[in-house]
Amino acid sequence: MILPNKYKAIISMAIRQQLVQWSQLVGRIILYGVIVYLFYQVFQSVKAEPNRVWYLAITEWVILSTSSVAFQISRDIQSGQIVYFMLRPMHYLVFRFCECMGTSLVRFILLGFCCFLLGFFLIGAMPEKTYLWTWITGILFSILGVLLYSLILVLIGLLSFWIKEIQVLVYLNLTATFCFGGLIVPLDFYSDFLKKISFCTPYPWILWWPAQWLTDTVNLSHAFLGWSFWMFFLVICIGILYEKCLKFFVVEGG
Amino acid sequence: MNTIVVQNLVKHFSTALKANGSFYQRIKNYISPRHYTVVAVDNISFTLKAGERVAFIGPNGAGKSTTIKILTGIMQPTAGYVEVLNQKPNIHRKQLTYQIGAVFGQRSQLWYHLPVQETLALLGAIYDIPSVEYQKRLGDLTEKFNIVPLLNKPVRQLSLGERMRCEIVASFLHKPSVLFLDEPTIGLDITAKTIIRDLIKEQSEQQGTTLLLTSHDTDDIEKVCDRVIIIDKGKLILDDSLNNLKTNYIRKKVVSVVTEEEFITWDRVGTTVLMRSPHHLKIEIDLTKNTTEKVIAEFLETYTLKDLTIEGPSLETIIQTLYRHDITQ
Repeated sequence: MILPNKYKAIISMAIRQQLVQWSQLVGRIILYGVIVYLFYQVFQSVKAEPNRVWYLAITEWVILSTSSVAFQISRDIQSGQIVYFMLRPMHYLVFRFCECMGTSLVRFILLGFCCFLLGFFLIGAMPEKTYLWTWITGILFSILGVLLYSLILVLIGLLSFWIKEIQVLVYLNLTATFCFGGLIVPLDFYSDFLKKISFCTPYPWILWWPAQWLTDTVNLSHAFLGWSFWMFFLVICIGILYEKCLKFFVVEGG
Repeated sequence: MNTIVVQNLVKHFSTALKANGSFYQRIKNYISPRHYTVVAVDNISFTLKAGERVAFIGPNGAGKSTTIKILTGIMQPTAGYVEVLNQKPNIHRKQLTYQIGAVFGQRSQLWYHLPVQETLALLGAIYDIPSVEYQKRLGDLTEKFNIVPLLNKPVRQLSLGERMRCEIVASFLHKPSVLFLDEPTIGLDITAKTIIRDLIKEQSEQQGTTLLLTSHDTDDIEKVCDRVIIIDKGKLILDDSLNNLKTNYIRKKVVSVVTEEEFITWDRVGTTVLMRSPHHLKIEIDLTKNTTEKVIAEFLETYTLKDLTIEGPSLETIIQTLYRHDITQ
């Protein structure tokens, strides 16, 4: 699929806007460093294997890279700014998604450097799987994780048409990511029942899959199929919901 | 050629009633809410020709925004016929976006942290303007709106007046045939307001752009528009030229006279004395009961006039009167 030039231009603008807001980037890097360091200390005290720190560094990398597109969409809907965007020859949601991708890309690259520097500095060694292609595919999978997570946030943002305050939903989503995605502890540590529940949600394909691929083993075809299913499912849901939102917008004003 | 055709436009909103009372009633209402219908636009019709500059005004909640949203295709009408540039907005919204533009005084289309130039370039890409054509239009508009020195400044560093000039350039960049302006001068100082009004009018005259202006500032209307459409409670209450509005809808005039005589006595039908001092009298004429010519003739018969001034009400007063339905139909 070829992305039209207008959407490429939006991604490029978002990248520049994110680079200009360097203080926000520094804050995010500090937050990332503190989280990884704290858990490194915790894992050391329980004598966990070094790969656990790498696992956490990778999952946090994915989560902190993703732009808060849900709040952006919510603000547009609540303030009526969405009307301004709908008067342009572009798809509003694709515009916001591209903007989110641009912002996330800058964060992903910077936090990626931090992830490997910090991981190497704290552990003193790379994860066990150090083949170059493993790393390249691992990074690609992490990008896919960011994509999937962004789609969930777009879906939550759209719910602003009905729910005035989406903050609760965003926090619930974060909690679900924490629990079902294996943000801190890999899903292999879960009981069978909890693991089954987790795999019924999209969250393992956001965090567990890329982190597990880089630090342990994972069935690549299963993982990719699961990711594709959730991407397809979410795109369909967002499409239907957006159409409903437009109808609602037409009815209620805005 | 008509650019906008609106015939018997109706828009109803169905709004859920908020439940009060017991917990049971609230739950019941939540499961099966009762609705009531709000008539936002009530059977209005008008047409706009190419290049016309029309003020579309009314008090808050009159139905202006709803009508504009229908004209832009964002909302669907409940009934009636709408055509913008020979297209039905609710069906051809995407195609229409290339030919229409909007300026909302209280919102911004510029990227806050980036230089103005970058947003303009992005808009060039969004509207698929070829590079050479974009450079030409950018050069013309930036020079005309005097924003060349602002192009490399981040938007956050611009004053409100500067930002509005950039917003308008951004809206004219794709040469829209119809431009919707919503309070384009809100919050600006007098100098900035004058500049913005002049530039909008000049640009519209040169490009033949149809303007539909919504503003509570009557100076915006007077300086930019030739025609006024007033709606209230969803109904069209007036559609006339600005000149006709000023001449036909004036019910009162104020006459001030300076006379040779020190004491002036005055008591005539349809007039009210507003101020009386030695050699000076100020009266208000109710034009439904008397005429200015008659009053002046009577003055001339009785007193020796040294000076005479006649003042009509401001456009603001006329519009306020119309809003109050205080005018003879």
